[in-house]
Amino acid sequence: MTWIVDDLESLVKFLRGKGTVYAPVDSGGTYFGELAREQEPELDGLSDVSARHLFQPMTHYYLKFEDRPDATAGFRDYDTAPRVVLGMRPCDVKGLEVHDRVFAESESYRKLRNATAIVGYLCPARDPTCFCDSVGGAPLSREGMDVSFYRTDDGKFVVTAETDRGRTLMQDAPFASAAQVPAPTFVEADHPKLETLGLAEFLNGTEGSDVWKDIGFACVNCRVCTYVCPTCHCFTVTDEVFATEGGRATVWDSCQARSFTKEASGHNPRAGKPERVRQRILHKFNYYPKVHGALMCSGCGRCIKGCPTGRNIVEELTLLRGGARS
Amino acid sequence: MIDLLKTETAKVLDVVDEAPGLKTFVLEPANAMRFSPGQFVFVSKLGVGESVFAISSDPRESGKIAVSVQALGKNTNALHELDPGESVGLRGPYGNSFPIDEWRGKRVIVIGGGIGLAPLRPVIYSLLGRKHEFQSLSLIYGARLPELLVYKPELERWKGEMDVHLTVDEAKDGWHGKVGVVPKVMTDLALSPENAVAVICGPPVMIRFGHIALKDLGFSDEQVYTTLEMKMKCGVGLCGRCNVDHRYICKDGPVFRMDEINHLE
Ligand SMILES: Cc1cc2nc3c(=O)[nH]c(=O)nc-3n(C[C@H](O)[C@H](O)[C@H](O)COP(=O)(O)OP(=O)(O)OC[C@H]3O[C@@H](n4cnc5c(N)ncnc54)[C@H](O)[C@@H]3O)c2cc1C
Ligand code: SF4
Ligand code: FES
Repeated sequence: MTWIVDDLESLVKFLRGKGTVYAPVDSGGTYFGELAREQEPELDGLSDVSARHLFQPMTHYYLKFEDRPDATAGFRDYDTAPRVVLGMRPCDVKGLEVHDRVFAESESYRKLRNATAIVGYLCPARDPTCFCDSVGGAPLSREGMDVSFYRTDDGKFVVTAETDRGRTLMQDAPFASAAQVPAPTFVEADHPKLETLGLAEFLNGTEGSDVWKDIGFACVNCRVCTYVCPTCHCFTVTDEVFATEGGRATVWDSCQARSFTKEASGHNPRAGKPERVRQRILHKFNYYPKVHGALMCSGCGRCIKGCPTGRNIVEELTLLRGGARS
Repeated sequence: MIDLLKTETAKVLDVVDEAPGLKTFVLEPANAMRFSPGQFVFVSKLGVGESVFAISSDPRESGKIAVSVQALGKNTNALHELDPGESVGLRGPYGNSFPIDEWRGKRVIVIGGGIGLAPLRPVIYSLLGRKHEFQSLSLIYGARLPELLVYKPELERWKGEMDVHLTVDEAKDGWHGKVGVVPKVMTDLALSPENAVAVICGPPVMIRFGHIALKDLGFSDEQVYTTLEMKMKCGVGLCGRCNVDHRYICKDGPVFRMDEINHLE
């Protein structure tokens, strides 16, 4: 089922009736936030951070106490009120496949995921760091979206229900249904290209390569690359106590942090930058593929865009391939 | 993933001083917990934190488990403050276990260093409980100093039930056992690889040199088992930190046969 919607405002207004609407919003940078009344989604360009936090909260106190610590403090699950996430790009939707696989056994994750309808936005143009098509995605892919939409040349929106959840969501849509619609268009640009054929296998046994030293050299351990990524999912578990409350929380963590693997004895198996940058790259392109048969990268390019020292994972993988076994 | 991190409670039944800075806590889980030798649990105090410990008690005992805790940092020091009767958070058991059934008919050599005896104690209890199924059972156990040897009453008892060799790096007055690091004792004893399996657990250097000693004695990597340690936060293969290669130590381990991991060293 496909509809033509005259303006974004009408679509948003309709979706608000279905649940809390999250969309890219501008606050200096763009991120997925709850769309306030009258607020316009920011659909131009890829958001600066992915929608990961909507499926894995940055901080979530799953045990919480007030006043006094008590080992039986109640369990607090995620808030699973109905939500609509509007404006996720194909790469972010593809990134969610990773969370779906890794957290498959978690009932809490499944409930959160099932409470969420994804209204994905097909990309109008390529950002200069996008390489989704190198890693199995495509700018106009509707895979994983409950509802897809794109902008036509005359500024209208073509909205299509893609899944059962999408059809239910759009059931009573007050828009004109359309049999004939203009195809989505996409404006190309120069972009990184990664050869992934045989890449995961090639990386087997590269742990000892000297290339990791060259790759790690520029890194300043800021961890931006892991926090903007739609496929990263590592976290820590921490107990915190404040003036009148406290508890135990899961908090996003990063393999690029020195403390990530530092043990109480002081021993740290990934004490140096070469080991840490290796962990990030091999997790995405070798370890995860060995377990799940897919790459752990959706090509959004945010790590390239966000790195303060200009590191580029595509160039690094290319360098590894050329140099690691020469 | 938070539902997979839910904790139960357990009551502290007993606290045993094992060695300076090392205490064993006998816990009574609110919900009975069955485990296999080699598995571990998270013990926590809410508002302080969770830490992971090998279960060190007899797997045949029902209704209680024990962990032996070395005070090293925030959580472990807080746990050392516990008295009998107090309650803690507990979750697990997690991880794989030693494939004791596969060792039937063999000579089983258990090798431990320091607190590395903790995950091995359930192995020894299990082996002794079905002693007739094995050709022979031996234990080689060492620590830096005599006072750092753990489970002293058990060590005495085991001397009557299996072949026990105790050693310390530095002797003191009153020490009648061997002197020298564990790998040296292994070499001096000329351990035979014939129909044998060796299980080795202890500080990383001891495992490294113990493994070398076993190789020199003619043991193949298929005959040697060990446990790996990495910092852990979730214990269920999700938080992403405890991997070596693509394997999460918390889920695919902590027990490995040397041939599964030796290419990683
Ligand atoms: C499979 C396994 C079995 C273990 N068995 C025992 C045992 O039987 N007895 C014992 O005394 N110790 C054992 N340890 C080590 C023990 O978990 C750490 O010493 C302890 O977590 C340190 O916590 P801390 O808060 O006191 O130290 P801190 O340095 O303050 O720890 C900070 C955080 O890092 C984590 N952490 C730090 N070091 C380690 C580590 N080596 N392993 C895992 N997590 C760590 C803790 O979760 C803690 O929250 C085991 C570790 C593993 C992985
Ligand atoms: S963004 Fe760049 S500097 Fe920061 S941790 Fe990642 S690679 Fe290192
Ligand atoms: S402890 Fe979290 S993945 Fe192993």
